[in-house]
Amino acid sequence: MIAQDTIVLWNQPAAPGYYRMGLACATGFDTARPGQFVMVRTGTEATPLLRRPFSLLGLIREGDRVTGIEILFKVVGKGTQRLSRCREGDRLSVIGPLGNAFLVPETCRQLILVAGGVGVPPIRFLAQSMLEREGGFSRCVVFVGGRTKDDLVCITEFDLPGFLLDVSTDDGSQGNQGMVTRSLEKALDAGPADLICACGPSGMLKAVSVIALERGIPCQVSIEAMMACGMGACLGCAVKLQDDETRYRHVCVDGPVFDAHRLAW
Amino acid sequence: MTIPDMTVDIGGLKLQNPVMTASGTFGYAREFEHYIDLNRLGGIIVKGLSLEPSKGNLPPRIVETDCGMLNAIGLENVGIDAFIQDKLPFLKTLCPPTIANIYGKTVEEYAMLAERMEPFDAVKGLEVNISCPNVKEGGVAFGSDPKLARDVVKAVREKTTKHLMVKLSPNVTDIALMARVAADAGADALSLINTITGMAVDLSTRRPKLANVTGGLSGPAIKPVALRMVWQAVQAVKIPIVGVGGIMNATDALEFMMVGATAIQVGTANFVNPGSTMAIIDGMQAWLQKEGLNDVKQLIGTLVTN
Repeated sequence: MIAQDTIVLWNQPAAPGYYRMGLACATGFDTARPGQFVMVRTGTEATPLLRRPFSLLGLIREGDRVTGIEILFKVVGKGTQRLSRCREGDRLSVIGPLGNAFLVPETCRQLILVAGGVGVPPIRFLAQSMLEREGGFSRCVVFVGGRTKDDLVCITEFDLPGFLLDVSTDDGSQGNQGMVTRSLEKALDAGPADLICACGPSGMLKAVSVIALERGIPCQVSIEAMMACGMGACLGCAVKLQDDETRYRHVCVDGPVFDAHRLAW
Repeated sequence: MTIPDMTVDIGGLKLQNPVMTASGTFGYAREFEHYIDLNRLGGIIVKGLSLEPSKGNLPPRIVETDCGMLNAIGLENVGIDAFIQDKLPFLKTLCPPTIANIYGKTVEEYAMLAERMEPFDAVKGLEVNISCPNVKEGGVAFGSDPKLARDVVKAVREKTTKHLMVKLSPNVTDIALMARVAADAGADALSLINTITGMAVDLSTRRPKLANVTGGLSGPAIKPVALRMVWQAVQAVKIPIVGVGGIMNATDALEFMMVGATAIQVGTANFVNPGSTMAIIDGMQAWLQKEGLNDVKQLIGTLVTN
């Protein structure tokens, strides 16, 4: 991981309130993996002071080389407002890649991915990286959920060979009506899975974790926490595991991907 | 042009330059090895250590505020034994002196920490934290009660031959009094300020933004308070003062030295830019050259007030 000045290649609305940003990075991301994140400084002023963490949506490649990264963000506060105003050619300081990654074992043949709202990026990156996998999968389903169709971001990105896409919205404005977890349950009742990987709001992740646990399916989740540094110095992003009361883990260095069955929800 | 002499002496401990890392913002240094040349630092002050490992406060522990941030980490740390076994071997390989920040819940605990650290030559100094606002026992009580503060500093002084720096709390009425108490009790230097107690509220949920309710404010927001307190401490005691509080760049660092600090610590800036310390060292040197000063010590306490 390194700190570097990157150049904005594009910054396009991906859905109402969501932006997809490409950043040219001179170096550092050749070995970046799905689940890893970056810390982005949104300006140079004292407010907002801290960097903002973003999971990688994907890598930009030129031939064999990784020349940049993509992130996806929802405008929620001052930092993301600033980012939304960035234009092609602007410079942004980026630290990364940080944290761990999803780990899909070679033996996994039936993979389920779940993305809720702004949790799409690492799941999209993971789905893409799975295309290069030798042997492929016998079953691969991506569940994407949002409150309304306006919260379904980048879903066309999941139109990948061998992947089945299942979309849900709370209000039924697109895909199945209801929570993404209901579709997930139906699918698991219909057939088994070797692994579930998920990212999204905490409530959704907890529900996915419970569903997986009931069926004895391994489950990895990428979680969020307030953090100042992203590199294990501030100790702000503490998270508790069920099986270890003696200390907290930290989302930035021990995560952001955790074994869902170990987290104390 | 000649490179200015950047060395300073903070009461018996020589630093190759005045730029140190503030406790709790720099881990145990290794966290930053990919980002900066650790050997260029003036000094490394590690995360506050207690006798036993401490898991710290419930999350959420951090929230951003205008021009700053609040934290209530609660002094999560690996404990002194794990520090000595797992962290010190790496720190030992570095040129800058390692200063161990210590905190206890009782006077005896502070003394035991000092005693335990005494045989390890790789630890060049102790910074006694009597000012953390986020731990229920000890911490701020020692930092705001002159008698308790004196007892702690005296107890540590009796147990250590190392450089002894006392980190003062800004959450007091009379910083000059606390500075005098710590100096009289045997401190070699004082560092100030620690974070200022603060609070943030989420109107929509009607809850405090920190699980601990209150936290310590740091960052650019607290620099004016820190400058004022350093200024007052400098008038009050003869021992060197190490300035801390909202130092984000070389200008900030130079201001603290002009006010009378002999050295400075960089804290929150490490989170924002892991390379901040390097930029500050370079920037200070460049400014001195521009001003035609060949020694950073020529700047200390040169504030013109008449």
